[in-house]
Amino acid sequence: MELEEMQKAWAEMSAKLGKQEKLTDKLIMDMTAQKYKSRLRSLTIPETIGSVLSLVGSGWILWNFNTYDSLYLQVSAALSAIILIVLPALSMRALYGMRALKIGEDNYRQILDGHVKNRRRFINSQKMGMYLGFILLVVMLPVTLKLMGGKVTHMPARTWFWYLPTAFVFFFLFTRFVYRCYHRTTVYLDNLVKELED
Amino acid sequence: MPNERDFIRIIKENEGIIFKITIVYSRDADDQKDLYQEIVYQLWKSFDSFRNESKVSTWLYSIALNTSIAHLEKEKRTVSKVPLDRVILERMEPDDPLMEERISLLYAQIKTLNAIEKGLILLHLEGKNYNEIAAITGFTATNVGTRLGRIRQKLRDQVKK
Repeated sequence: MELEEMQKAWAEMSAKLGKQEKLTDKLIMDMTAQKYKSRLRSLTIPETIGSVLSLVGSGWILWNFNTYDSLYLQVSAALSAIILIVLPALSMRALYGMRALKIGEDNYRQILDGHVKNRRRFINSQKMGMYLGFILLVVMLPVTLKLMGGKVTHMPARTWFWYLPTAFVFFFLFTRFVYRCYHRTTVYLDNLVKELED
Repeated sequence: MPNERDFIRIIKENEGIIFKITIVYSRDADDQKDLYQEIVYQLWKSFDSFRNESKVSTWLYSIALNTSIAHLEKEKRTVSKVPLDRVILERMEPDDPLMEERISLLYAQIKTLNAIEKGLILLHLEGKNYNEIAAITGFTATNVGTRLGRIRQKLRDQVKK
């Protein structure tokens, strides 16, 4: 369909739609009220729960810091605690950015520009979260075992023997899946940026 | 507090425009209902700041298109609790199958365009001139003309394929 045909079809559709009145006063005001409520509700329930759990975990690790009797455990504990603070911070930062589009003030071009930045920030946060998650998977194990009452000065070789390969395989598959998911979005964003700069 | 009566009147006068925009930017009926509701909500939120500052149509298109772009970022869709089936699903009840087919084809073609092109073509089809499109989108009028020329060519190429 060429542009002229599209214009004709669009005009016909507009004429048909123009005759219809589907909205009622109540429906319009219900839409504004309902959206306001659901916006408040959905503010950050899953993210807040995740963040609180991470921070509690981090606090638990730090609170017991004097029980880590080797440098190896202390480094693992410090890394775990830091990652458990950084992960929710990353997620909140990405979410905050996504909410910052000024729909009522900016024009379409600025909103598109903000959209590209938000998506990129979000993807970068997800990737960073993925890498940190893997490090956490490794450093958290000895710390958890120690805190659960085990005597850990260093991890037994046989634990690493099954744990590390399993973690690597899981991480490899997960990374591949995530990259595939984001590849299309990244291409789409790159094209959009090129178009905006034209 | 925004004037409820004026707001309702404007929304009713322009419900068809909101409907057309939601088709272009949504993936399915549920998504469309969510976007429709989001646009009405955003219009209500910015209603106070708009008055006397710009034309109703410029304000409405601007907010509706901006909301549609922001809506693309939402990963999870919330199912609308306001009964919008009448507004969305019944609006395009088929009375002329030929016209229905043409309109489906029209939307299918628009959906192949990227977000920038979608906004421009939509405003162009709505009969807006380059200056009006420029005021809504933030591109210059000359740039709008160039971009629409490219879209025209892209559509032609699609027909040839």
